Order: sequence, then structure tokens, then C-alpha cells
Amino acid sequence: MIYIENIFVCLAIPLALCILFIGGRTRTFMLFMIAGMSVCLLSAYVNSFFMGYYGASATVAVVEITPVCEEVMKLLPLLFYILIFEPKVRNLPEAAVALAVGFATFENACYLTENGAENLMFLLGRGLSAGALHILCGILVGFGLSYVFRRRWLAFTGTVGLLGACIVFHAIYNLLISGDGAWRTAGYLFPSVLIALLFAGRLLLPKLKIMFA
Amino acid sequence: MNFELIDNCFQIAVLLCAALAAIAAEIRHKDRRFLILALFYICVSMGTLYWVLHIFIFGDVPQVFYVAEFSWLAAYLFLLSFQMVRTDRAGPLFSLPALACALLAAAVVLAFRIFGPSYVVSAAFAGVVFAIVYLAVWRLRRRGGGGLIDCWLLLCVGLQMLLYVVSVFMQDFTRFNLYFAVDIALTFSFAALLPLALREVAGK
Repeated sequence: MIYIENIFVCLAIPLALCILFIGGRTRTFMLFMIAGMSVCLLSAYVNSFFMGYYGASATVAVVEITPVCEEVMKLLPLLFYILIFEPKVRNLPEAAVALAVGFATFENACYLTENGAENLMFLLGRGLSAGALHILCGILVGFGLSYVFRRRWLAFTGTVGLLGACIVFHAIYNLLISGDGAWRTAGYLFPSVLIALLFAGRLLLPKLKIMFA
Repeated sequence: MNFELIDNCFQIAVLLCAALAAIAAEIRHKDRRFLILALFYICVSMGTLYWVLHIFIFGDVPQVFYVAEFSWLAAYLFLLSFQMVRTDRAGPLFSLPALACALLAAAVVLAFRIFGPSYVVSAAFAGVVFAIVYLAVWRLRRRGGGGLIDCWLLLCVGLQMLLYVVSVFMQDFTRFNLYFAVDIALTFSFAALLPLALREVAGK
């Protein structure tokens, strides 16, 4: 058993304190990082509830329940931000990525507490893959929402569609890392490869004068 | 290897190629419809990929939650978004024949609990199908039977419903049968949406 609330307090307090002395976009970024950590904490409770409700094993929960709960929970603060504060749509990707970074950081901290920090290569792989996965989902949701919220009648279908895409993407990752041997290796590699491709595309596409509408 | 896996792998390959082609079309034509279509293809293929991987890794289909169904539902939501982007609201949106067709489609979805057995997921799919069919029939009537792509969308929705209806009567999914014939037709009909969208954009 690990005391995730204690870990949360320990990680979130320094971030919360620094908010008092910074402003502008950095402050928003930091707030969303803390929100991501809070969402990770709450997701653990929701996952445990559904695991008990369905009588599911840990493996089944990781593959079938966790992706749904985590992605739904990650979307809620963003929707709150959009609907209550009505920010400029160009600020949404940054907020979504900050939320994903906070979530991944807290998840990794809990993982370290539970499993130890002896195996550097394994932790490097996990840090890269889990971090890349959450950031990819953040990028998809952030850029997706910034488009669909420009058109009122697209907002609902687009938001739920993006949520579904993130859920299945996350579930495929969890499914692969739950397997053995080559499946697990593929699971650890594919988010990192995708984020490397995305980064290469971000650098290359403007140079090739290729822009999305 | 049983035919279910072959059919699913074929669907994943075809739709991922269609997604790449849709992204290329988006870059070339700078029209958001292609990006939405690409997301539709990606969601269908990722849902099927999850299903296939679950069979490969655990030797069984998912038992507790509806991850693949969420993905397919998301795909149909993108298809609905595609319809909404194509629809300009000039004139009244109400049409009795469109409403009748949409209600019939939603009733079939609920009767066969498509994307079920959860009532919630099935009802959500019924709502999405209702909206897609309504907009397609409304557009067809308004334009005097013009848009081929609207007929094609109705065909896609019809094949999706037929797939589930046929699956009720099938017992053996290891060999080729009517179920797989419908599924392959559905895969090709999804893929054909892209050339039809290209034709529509070119004809603008």
C-alpha cells in the first residue's frame, strides 16, 4: 500500500508556492500541472471504485477500466476551463499539455514509490513511454478542442469523439505493456516513436511550407 | 489463424491507409473535412486494433468495459461532425421524411442493441445514427437527390446495422461467411468516403 495523498501533498506544495510569485502563462502552466496531479489522484480512487464494482482483476482494470477513467478525468478540468473562463482557443493546447505533464509526473512518482528506483533502464523506458503517451493524448485533446470550440455545434460531437480517440489510444498502450516479450517492447516503443515523429513533423512541415488548414 | 483475425487485420490496414490518404488530402486541399475523415478512419481502425490485440495477447475478447465500442462510437461522432461541417443551415432544418428515416434507424440500433449489450452505449450510438441519417436524408431532399456522398453515408450506416443483425444469426466466426462479407463491404464503403469527399471538394 502506498499513501498517494501524502505523495501528492509533497509534490504539489512546492508548485503551489511558486504560483504565488509567478504570473502570466507560466502561472497557467503550473496551475494545470497541479490540476493534472490532482486528476491523477482522483483517477486512482475512481479506478478502485470501478474495479471493486465489476470485481475486475488488476490486469483487466489496467486494460479496460483505467484508460476510460483517466481520460475522462483529464478532460474535465479542461472543459471547466473552457466553459467557465472562456480562454482564447490558442491557449488550449498548452493547458492540455501541462495537465498531461502533471498527470504523468504524479503517476511516475507513485510508480517509483511502489516499485523502487533501482533499474535505471526500465525507469527510463517507462518514463519515456508513459510520459509520451499522456503528452500525445494532451496534444490531441488540446489541438482538437481548440478547433471544435470555434464552432458551437461541433463542440459536443468533437469533444466526445476526441475523448473516445484518447481512450482507445491509451488502452492500446496499456494492453501492449500488459503483454509479454515483443508486445511489451512494442508498447514501450510506440508512444516514444510517435512523439518523435510528431516533433520531426513540427520542425519539418513549416520548412517544406506544408501547413494544416 | 481464424477468419475473424484476418478480416480485422484487413480492416485495420485498409483504414489506416485511408487515414494517411485523408491527411495527405487535408494538406493538399486545406479543407477540415479531410482531417475529420482521417480521425474517423483512425478511430475505427484503433477500435479494431484494440479488439485484435486483446485476442492476441489474452486469447479472449474484452469482458468488462467497452473500450473498442467507445472508439467506434467516437468514429461515428467524427462522421457526424463531418456531416455537420458539410451542412450549411440555409432554410428550415425540419423534414418529416428525414425524421421518419432517422427514427427507424435509431429503433433498429436499440432493438438489436448495437454496440451493446450496455443500454447506455447502445442508446448513445442510436442518438448518433439518428443525427447522421437525419442530416443525410435532409440534405438529399433539399438538393433534389443530389449528393452521392449522402447516399454513401446512409449505405455505411445501413451496413453497420446489417453487420450486427447478421452477427446475431451466425455461430461460427472462424470461417468465411455472410458476416465477413458484410464487414468487408463496410470496410470498402468507409474507404470510399474519401474519394467521394475529394470529388465534392473538387466540384465546389
